Amino acid sequence: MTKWNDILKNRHLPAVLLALIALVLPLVLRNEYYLHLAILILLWTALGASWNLLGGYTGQVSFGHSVFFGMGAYVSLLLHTKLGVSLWMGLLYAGIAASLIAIPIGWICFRLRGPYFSLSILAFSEVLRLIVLHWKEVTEGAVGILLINSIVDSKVSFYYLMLIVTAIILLVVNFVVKRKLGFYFIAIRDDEEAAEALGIYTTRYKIYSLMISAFFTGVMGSLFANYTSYIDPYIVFSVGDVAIAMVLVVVLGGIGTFWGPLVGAICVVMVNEGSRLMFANASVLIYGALVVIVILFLPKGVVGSLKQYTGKWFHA
Amino acid sequence: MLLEVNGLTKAFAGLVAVNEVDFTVQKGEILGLIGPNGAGKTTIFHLLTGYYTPTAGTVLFNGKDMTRVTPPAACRLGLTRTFQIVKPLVQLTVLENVMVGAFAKIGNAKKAKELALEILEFTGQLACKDMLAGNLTLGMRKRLEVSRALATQPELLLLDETMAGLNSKEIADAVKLIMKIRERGITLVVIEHVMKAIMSISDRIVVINYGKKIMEGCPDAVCNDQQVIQAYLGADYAKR
Ligand SMILES: Nc1ncnc2c1ncn2[C@@H]1O[C@H](COP(=O)(O)OP(=O)(O)OP(=O)(O)O)[C@@H](O)[C@H]1O
Ligand SMILES: [Mg+2]
Repeated sequence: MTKWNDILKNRHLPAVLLALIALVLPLVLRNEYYLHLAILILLWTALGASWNLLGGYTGQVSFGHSVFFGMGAYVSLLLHTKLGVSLWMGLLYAGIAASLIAIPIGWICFRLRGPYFSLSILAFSEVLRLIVLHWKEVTEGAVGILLINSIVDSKVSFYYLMLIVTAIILLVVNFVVKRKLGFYFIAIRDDEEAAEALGIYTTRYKIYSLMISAFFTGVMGSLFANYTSYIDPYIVFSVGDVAIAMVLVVVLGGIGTFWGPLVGAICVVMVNEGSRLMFANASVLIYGALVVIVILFLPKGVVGSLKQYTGKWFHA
Repeated sequence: MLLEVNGLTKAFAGLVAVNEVDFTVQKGEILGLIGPNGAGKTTIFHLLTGYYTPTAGTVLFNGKDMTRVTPPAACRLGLTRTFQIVKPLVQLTVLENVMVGAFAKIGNAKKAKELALEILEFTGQLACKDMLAGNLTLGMRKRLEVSRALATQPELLLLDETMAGLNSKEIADAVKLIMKIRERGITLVVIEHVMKAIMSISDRIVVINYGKKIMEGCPDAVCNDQQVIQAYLGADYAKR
């Protein structure tokens, strides 16, 4: 009996259970549409977790993560279609490319604080979208890029690929926030002047946070491109459908919490699909209503509010 | 000489907050910095640690020019300050706050935690190590400022009114703690309005009034100086 008690009290239990459910899900969900929804939830969990590292843990709210998403999508597909680089390597290059452009972007944008940072990074996303749109010789411009053979061929394999990448991102976030890097990120979020007095080069650490966040966002951009097999500048650099949606996922789920992105992703995907079935294309309206509801009733997001009531159930 | 301050000046629009101040700090001593409200004491700390850039003057720490230093660089060189208006990292626990300080010289989380625990024991805050810093009383927050600064393993520690707002028992504890910090081999510059306390702990005292140094000497000499009594005690004590 005590053994069972130990297992039940283990704080890794929710994570282990979730992992098990995720592993057997395709065996249960025979329906392609449900599998598609599961893939979307993974996609948004991973994107939310990437954004959360910078926005939630480091306190730097970005409205322009589409710049890294689009960069990742384009880098991997262009390397593949133009130079024949494998799509697997493309995932890695997508992350590296996004991480590298994060350096100058961070260097410039982190001179600004608060809302000015949030918006200036959005400007970079728009600039990159325009470059891709007009540099037709390389990027095909508005025509976009069509992928004939995706990285894996079946939906089930795609689900597992997405699951592995999402799990890696969550594990890395969990690893980072428990170490010096994570302590420094949170210190910067809580009080920048205090952080500096304690020897933290705040701009440098914000750039580190942005680089990690951008790396994963770039990888997810590449995975997304593989999943849809088609990208154009309007889709992958979309401020509304990518950048703001990432913010929404995290704010809904619980900013700066570990499980927030997953909870937020489930909510957003469900609401999105539900509203599409009921009201055709009213998703923007629904998003708006959701944000208002969260701000009014759950200012800390679903997980943040639960945490208040249940104490240490979810660890930060 | 650990710290040498020469002609230190800071002018804001329409106000010279610090005006050609000179003083030195010897290794191992406790220097008291006193003066009426708005005299420029906190501004001096801001200047020493890179939060403000001096309008004129020089600061040498261990012979190194500090006039263009940034706050994190000052800390890493061994010069750490606390804030008069406390700045706890509110969503971290007391222990985690102190660990952030420890990471200044230690990269490994386990070792940083060991040092943080040792510091909390030293400052008498071990009992509340798992409390969120945001939930502490003012007295505990003031002490947390000190614990966290100690964790950066400074050579020179600048304490800005760590006794303000404390009751007499807490003040007595704070005095004991400062003496213990000195025994640890750390040099201190202490800003304090609590006269009895600052007189009892300081080896020397520097008195600032309207941005200028008006007197420097041992506690007894400062207490009996007519200029100080008029400018400082006269103005400030009369109010209380
Ligand atoms: N950033 C600033 N801009 C303009 N004036 C400032 C600034 N910082 C401080 N001052 C002014 O400089 C003077 C000295 O302030 P300072 O905070 O150093 O005083 P203090 O000696 O620490 O006083 P207290 O004992 O009340 O803490 C004050 O008149 C203050 O208003
Ligand atoms: Mg002051």
